[in-house]
Formats: sequence, structure tokens, C-alpha cells
Amino acid sequence: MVDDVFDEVGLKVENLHASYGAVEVLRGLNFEVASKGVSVILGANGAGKTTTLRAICNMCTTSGSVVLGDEDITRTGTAEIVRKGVAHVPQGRGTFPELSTMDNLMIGAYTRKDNEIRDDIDRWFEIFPRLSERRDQLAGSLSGGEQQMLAVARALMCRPRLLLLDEPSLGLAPLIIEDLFERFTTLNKETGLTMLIVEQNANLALEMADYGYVIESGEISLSGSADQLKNDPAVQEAYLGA
Amino acid sequence: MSTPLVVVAKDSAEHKRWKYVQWMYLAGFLILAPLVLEPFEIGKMNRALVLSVAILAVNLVVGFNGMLALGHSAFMGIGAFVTASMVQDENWDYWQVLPVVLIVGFIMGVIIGLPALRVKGLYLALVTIAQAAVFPTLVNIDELGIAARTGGPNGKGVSEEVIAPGFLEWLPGVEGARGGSAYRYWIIVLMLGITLLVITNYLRSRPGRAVLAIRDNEAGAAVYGVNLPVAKTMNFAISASLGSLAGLMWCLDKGFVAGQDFTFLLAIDLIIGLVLGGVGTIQGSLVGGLFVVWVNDLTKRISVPLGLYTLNGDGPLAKAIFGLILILFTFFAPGGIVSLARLVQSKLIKVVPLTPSGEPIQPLDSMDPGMESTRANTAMKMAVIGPVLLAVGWLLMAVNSLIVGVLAFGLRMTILMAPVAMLVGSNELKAHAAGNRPDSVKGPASMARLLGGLGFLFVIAYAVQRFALNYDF
Amino acid sequence: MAGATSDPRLESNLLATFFLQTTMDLVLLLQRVFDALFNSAIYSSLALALVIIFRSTGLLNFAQGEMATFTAYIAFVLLAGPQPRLTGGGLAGLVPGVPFTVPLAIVGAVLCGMAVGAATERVLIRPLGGASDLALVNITIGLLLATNSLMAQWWGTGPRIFPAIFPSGAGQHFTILGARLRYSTIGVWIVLLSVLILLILLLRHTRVGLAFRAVSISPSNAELVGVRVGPTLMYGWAMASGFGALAACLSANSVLLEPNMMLRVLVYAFAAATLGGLDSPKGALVGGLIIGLSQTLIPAYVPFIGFELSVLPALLAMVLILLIRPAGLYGTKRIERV
Repeated sequence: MVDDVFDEVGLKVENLHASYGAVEVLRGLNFEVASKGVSVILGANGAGKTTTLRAICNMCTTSGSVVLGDEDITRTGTAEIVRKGVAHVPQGRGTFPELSTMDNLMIGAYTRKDNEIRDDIDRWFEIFPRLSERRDQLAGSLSGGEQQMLAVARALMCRPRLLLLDEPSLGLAPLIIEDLFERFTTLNKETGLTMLIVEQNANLALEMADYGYVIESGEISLSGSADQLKNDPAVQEAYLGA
Repeated sequence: MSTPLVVVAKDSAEHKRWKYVQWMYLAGFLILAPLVLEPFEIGKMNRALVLSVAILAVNLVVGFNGMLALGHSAFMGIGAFVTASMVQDENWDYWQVLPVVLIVGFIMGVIIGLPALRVKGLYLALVTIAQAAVFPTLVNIDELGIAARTGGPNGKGVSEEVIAPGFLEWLPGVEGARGGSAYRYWIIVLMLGITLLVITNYLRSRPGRAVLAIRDNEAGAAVYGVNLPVAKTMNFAISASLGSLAGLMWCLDKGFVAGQDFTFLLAIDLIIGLVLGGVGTIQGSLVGGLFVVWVNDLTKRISVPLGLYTLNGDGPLAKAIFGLILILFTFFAPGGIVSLARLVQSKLIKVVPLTPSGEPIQPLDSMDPGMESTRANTAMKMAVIGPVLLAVGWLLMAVNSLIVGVLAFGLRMTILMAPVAMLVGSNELKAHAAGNRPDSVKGPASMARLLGGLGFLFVIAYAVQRFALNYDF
Repeated sequence: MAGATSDPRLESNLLATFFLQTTMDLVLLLQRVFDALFNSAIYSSLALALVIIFRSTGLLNFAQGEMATFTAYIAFVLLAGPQPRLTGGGLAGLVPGVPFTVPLAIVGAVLCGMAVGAATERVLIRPLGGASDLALVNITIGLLLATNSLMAQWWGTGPRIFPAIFPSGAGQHFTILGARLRYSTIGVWIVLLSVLILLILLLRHTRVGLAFRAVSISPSNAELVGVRVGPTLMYGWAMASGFGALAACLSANSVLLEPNMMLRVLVYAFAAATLGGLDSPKGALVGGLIIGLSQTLIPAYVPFIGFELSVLPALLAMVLILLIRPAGLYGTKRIERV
């Protein structure tokens, strides 16, 4: 059991189990994400990282409890969870290839009814000028990096409380990854957005995170502040290549 | 019945014996059918087997290549009309027409497949449905002598009768009242058998495996060097060729072809047969044809009075029942009858695979320790239930009602469990003699062997009686 | 030559005959076009219903035509009573003070169609989850067979005269350059175009339209931006079926109401939708026009093609267009990334 290590808890997961058919992927996960903090989940292929994020959004069969702020969302439907302020950038980016860049951002704001949507889109075009250049192009024709920018911008269009990122570095060039992670850091500093990142690129992830968990075979095997993990010999050997 | 009745090592002598048992059932069914069935029922059986070939053709594209092509009624029609025209107008023999039909079907398949296979999924379904919808009108074109060849709206009859030559009159059922249809039955069974053999081997061949690979992952197959357009078109053309063969068989069986026989509704029948039988399985096509014809036939005989109003199966009701069956199967048995049969089979027999060195991956005796006695008991129950239900079924035959009749037929068929019960019983006795079973097994096992043997004798006696009636000994 | 010019009267006569002939031919052509416009509108409307479902759910409803015919029967029942073959009383007196006029009955049919469509999605499609295309084709073909047969069972196979919604009597037409353009053709086109415009506005410029498009591209991604996928699909089905009902009611007068009424229309509508591009409302309209016009004009001017074969050129055109543009004239090309 994890004690309440944080002053304010953004997301609290207890005894989370998840399975695809007969295969149990998560076997009783316990972890917390600090409100306004950046947490990272590290793990090898097949450890259950992606499933963890999917389970939080109730996209697979689960048991256990997931609490967002002080609200239990274990049994809430995926669309409703999004409406409660959880944005998820899934593996494979989750953009709509046959919609234009603009429409992708518009649909990102689907849950909002205020009239600042246009302003937000303009803001994102300012942050990612490349997207602005390609605003009427179909999303499927963007490059991998541009699509990842679009995916993040699309997720943030719903003005979430919690952002779930599934391996944002996957398939991107090192320079672009660094740029992307810098932007995540700025975003967190400026807006206080709570983030939970799943990554294989442990170096970068621990650089920007406050707190980290290591997941092995569907269970949390290690947890601690980012600095602690960086200096942990086991983590160094397995994930940092030291 | 969670314990399988029989546990065998793969490819062991005993495994082979059980395979022979399965083949014996099939052979028995095929040989007895023309002896037991009435002449008009043999006609239905013929129609069913012809549809099986057509369904196999659809399966080749839809089930094995994952392309939603639904218009095979048109290929059947082409085969049927080519046959009718060549036999009637040019006085060819059916066997002479056969290669022509296969080639014409293949060419039509290439012509239609080349453009159609450029589109995928539901688009392809639409194009092929258009193909099925337009075919019956094509038959009526006056130009190019088409209508003269096809008989136009009146259809075309073949006056030459298919009669068994003297040296084939010994075939079961061929001599006597059911002669004509029984002889055609044997021709159709032969053609179906050859088709099944050819298609099974095709699917195991290099191009066949490419076709399966395309179904499972098109991009993947392309990356492994499969030439997608060629593989798809070839497969479609083979399937069209097979569909035309079914058309030839249709003409051979009915002696009459008309455009109205090859409408969109026939295409739907083929899809229903495919889904009912089992998409992507060879056996499924076989079962599917039988089901389409017999279910259709049974519903036609339904007549339920509802107050002032009579629900009459003769009219459109059959379609409603087919629609319902299609929906129910899609929901509850998407694998079709074959998947249900495999479920039953897995409860009856467990085949233990072998390690590379040829040993079973686990000792056969350790499959389910402590459960041995249930096996003998189940066998005994099967041996007892068979004759009892047979008797009940026989008594129920006196009731003149369609539903009871179908039920009675099903009950009588339970006697076919007897040989299985006998074999399991003797198996268990052998295991007991070898010291692998407790003594408590002995009683039920010998009982199962005895009763099962009697039941088996009864089945054989019945078959012999049928043969005697046929051959006048 | 000299002989020919020597008789100017004959020449002018010939000329006059020629002009008269040409004018008559032109009038005839115009007349044929006007006649074809009615069928085109019907094909376009049903194609539009197919497109709506494809656009919002990514699948095709093979039972679209049968569901539409069913609702036309509902309208008929609202006007003439539950078992029209037995009585002629109708439901007119059932709800006091509400006389079921033709437009009211059609509104009832459209509402009923929407309910049927929504129910179909909820009961037959959604429980299947993300099943294969074949499974969905099976379900809708099963529905086609069942609906068709039950209609024949209940209402009989005989054709019935459905009241006209637009004036379609003998003299009720405009005369344009000698050709008659019926009021009913104009009426049907007004309805079709206004629905089309509404639909395009809805899909292009509203939140709901964007949600429809997102769901048809990827339901799971749509859910991740907070779109309630189930209800969205249900609205799509309801909308399409309601529109199909309208199409059936509009055409029932001219093609006579019978259980197979829409089966033939459906094949043409499929061709129209494929021609235009399955996900393009505009394409449905253009496709319907092409099919309808070629069906009337080609047999008239190409001697060896009779009316029976009239659909052949249209279908050939469909195949050709698919060869060049597999997504249809106006369809969006699917983008595939592995």
C-alpha cells in the first residue's frame, strides 16, 4: 500500500486489476499522482504500462478503484471520464487521419461549450507554428512529429485536469523528443497541469518528472522521487543503461 | 461432461482409428442417403450438395481471403447457361462441357475481379451485389444471340436425360424408382469430393497460403513479397470457376435453367449457407448447403393457425426464418455449425500433441486422474439412451405433425451414438486389463460395450435391409 | 445539283421538316430528362440515407430499403387502418380531433422510422461491438429478409395505391419549352435539396457533425475526446432511417406500395452512393442523378439496350469510376498507415 506521499492527490489508483480475455495484465496496482505534479511510469515491453493508462480510462475490463481528485471513476464510461477532465494521448496518437488539423483540434474541444475555443486553437497554433501551416491539411498526411504535436494539442483542447501520455517519444527523432519534453515541462510549470507519463525513455522522463514508478509484470516493483529513482542501482542498470 | 471420453496421442494408431470412425459415419451417410430417402428428397439433397460447391466458392473469397464478394449467384448462372446451351444446342456431353465451364468461369472471374478487387470492404460488397442484381436481366438481351442461347425469359430446358450407363447400375439407389436422381446424386458427390480435395490442397499450397496471409494482414503479406493484385485476382478467378462448376452441376441436376433462378436472392442464400456452416472452414461449406435447403424445405411445410389468420410457411415466412437464423447465428454462433460441432468434438475426444521427439507432451494416463470411472459411466449412458430414444422416435412417427416429425427424426438418429459407446467401452476395458483403471469401471464399461455393440448391429442390420430392398436379394 | 436548287419551295419544306424534327427531338429529350428527374430524386434520397449511416457509423445498411418500405406502410396504416385489406376505417377517428392527413401521416412515418432505426442500432448493432464487416452485413441482410417477409405476411404482396403528397393529376404540371415538368417532381426535389442542405450544414459546421465524422473514422479515439459513441451512432441510424422513411413515402405514390417496393430502388441507390462516394452527401445526389438519367436516356437513344438493361450502363459507369477513383466521385480517400 502506498501511503499518502503527496499533499494533494490528483489521481489515486488502488488494487487495479485488468485483463484482456483470460490474460491478466495488471495484478493489483497501487499508485498515486500528485496534483499539479508530473509522474512517470517506467517499465519494459509488456509490463502493463499502456494497459495502466487504458484501465484508468476504463477502456478494458478492470477491477479495483480509480479515484480522480475525490471522485471514484472506476465504473465511469470512457467518454464521461474525458468529460471529467482526463485527457489521454494513446499509443498511435489518437488523431483522426481523415479530418483536417483544424477539425482535429475542434473535435478535441468537443466536451467544451464555452466560447474561448477559437482562442485556444490560436494559442496552440502559436506554440506549434508547424501545425498552423498545415491547418487545412488532413492529419494523416502530417509527419510523425507533427502528428504527435497535434495529438498533444488535441488532448489539451479539452482543458483537462489530468493528462495521460502514452510513450510520447515513440518513433520520434531525438531532437524532436527533447523539444517535446521541454514543452511538457513548460506546460506543467505554467498551467499546473497534472501529468502521468508512460515511457521507455527513462532518462528524459525522470528528468522532467517529480515522482516515478517502475512497473514489472503488472505490479509496481519500485517507487520514489525522480532523484531517488535516478540514483537507484536497479533502475540504472535496467532502464538508464548505466 | 468435462472429461473427454477418449484421450489419444496425435497420430497414434488409436487416433487413426477414431479418424476412421469419423470417415465411416460420413461414408455411411453418403451411401445410405440414396437408399433411404424418397426420390424427391434425393433431388433436394442434390440441390444441397450443388449449393455446397457454390458456398465453397464464396468461402474461398470471403472466408479465406477476407474479401466481401457477395455476387456468386452470377457465376453460377454463367456456368449453368453455358452448360445448358452447349448440351442442348451443340449436343455436347456434360463432361465435355466441364473444362469449358471451368475456363469460362475463370475468365469471367479475372474480368470482374480485376476492377472489383481494387476496392475493399463494403465497397466490394456493393459492386458484387450489383453484379448479382444485374445478371438475371443480362440473360434476356436479344443482341448477340444471347437470348436465343439462354432461352430469354422462358429459360432453357435440356432434353437429354442423365441416365446411368449399364456398368454403373450397381451404385446404391440407381436401379429402380429413384434411378435418375440417385445417379445424378452420385455424379454430384463425386464432383463435390474432387472439389473438396482440390481446394484443400490449394489452400495448403504456396498461392493458397498467400491468400490466407492477405486475409490476416494485407500489408504484412505485401511486405513478405505477396503480389496482392495477382494473388487476390487469381483466388477470385478460381472461386468464380468453382461457382461456374456449381452452375454446371445445377443444370445437370435440374435439366432446366432460367434467369430467375440466379437472382440476388440466391446470392443471399449462399451467404446464409456460408455463415450457418462456418466462415473460413471447408466443412462449413458442406454443412451450409445442406442446411439452406433443408431449413427452407421444413419452413415451407409449416402451417400454424392463429385465430382467423394462418401463418403459412409456403409464402414469405421462410425468408423471415432465414433472416432470424442469420441474425441469431451472427450473435450466438459466429463460427457457424462447424464451431458448434468442434465444441462437441472437443468434449468427446482429446488429441494430445506430440513433442518433436514423438512423445506425447504429457502422459496420456495423467490427463485426468480420478475421473476414469465417469468415462465408462458416460459411455454406458450413451449406449442406453440411444435405443430408448430410438424407440420413442419410432412411436412418435405415428403423430402426424411436422415439428413432432422433425423431433422424431432427431431422436431416431441418437442410435448413431451406439458405435461410439461400444468403442469407448472396449477402450476402458482394455485400460482396466492393463491395470490403469479401478475395478469399479469394469461393470459400466462391459455394459457400454455390450449395448453399444447391439446398437451398432441394429444400425448395420438396418443398412443391410435397405440394400436388400434395393438389390432384391 | 442544278435540279435541287431549281425548286426552292421543296428546299424550304425540307428545312422546315428538319427544324421541326430537331425541335421535336429536343422537346422529347427535355421531356425524358424531366421524367428521369423524379426517379433520380428517389435514388438520391435513399442513397443519401445510406450515406448518412456510412458517414456516421462506417457501415452500410442493406435493410435500409425494407425499413423505409415498412414506414411507408405505417403511413398507409395511419391513413387507412391497421389491416387495410379488411377494413377501410383507419385510425382517423382513433385520436379525436386529429384527422390523419397525408402530410401528418408522413410525419408519423418519419418519426416511426427514426424510432425503428435507433432501436435497430441499439438492439442489433451495438451489442456486436466492433465485429467484422461480414457480421454487420449479415445482420442487415437478416433484417432485410425478416422485414420484407413480415410485411408480405401482414399486408399481403398486392400493390396498394398510396395517396400523392404533391398534386400529380393530369393537368398539374409546368410546361417548359413544350415539355411537361410535373409539380410532384419539383416537390420531391425541393424536399430532397432542403434536406441535403440541412445535412451538409449539420455535418460540416456543427459540433454534432464533427462528432459523427470522428466516430466513423475511429470510435475508440472519438471516445477519448469525450464523444458518447453509442448515442451518436444511434442518432445516425435514427436520422438515416427517418430520411429513408421520407424517401419511401415520397416515392410510394408513383411506384405503388408493395413489400418489394424499395428492393429494386435499393440496388440503384447503392450504385448511386458508390458512384458518388459512400461518405459524400453531395455524391449521393450526383450519383442518383447519373443513375436516374442514364436509366431513362440510354435506352431511348441506344437502340440495342432495352429498358430492362437500362441499369447496365450505370453499373458499368460505377465500376469504371471505382477503377479510377476507388473512393467514388466525391468520396474521401481512406488514409492507411500501418
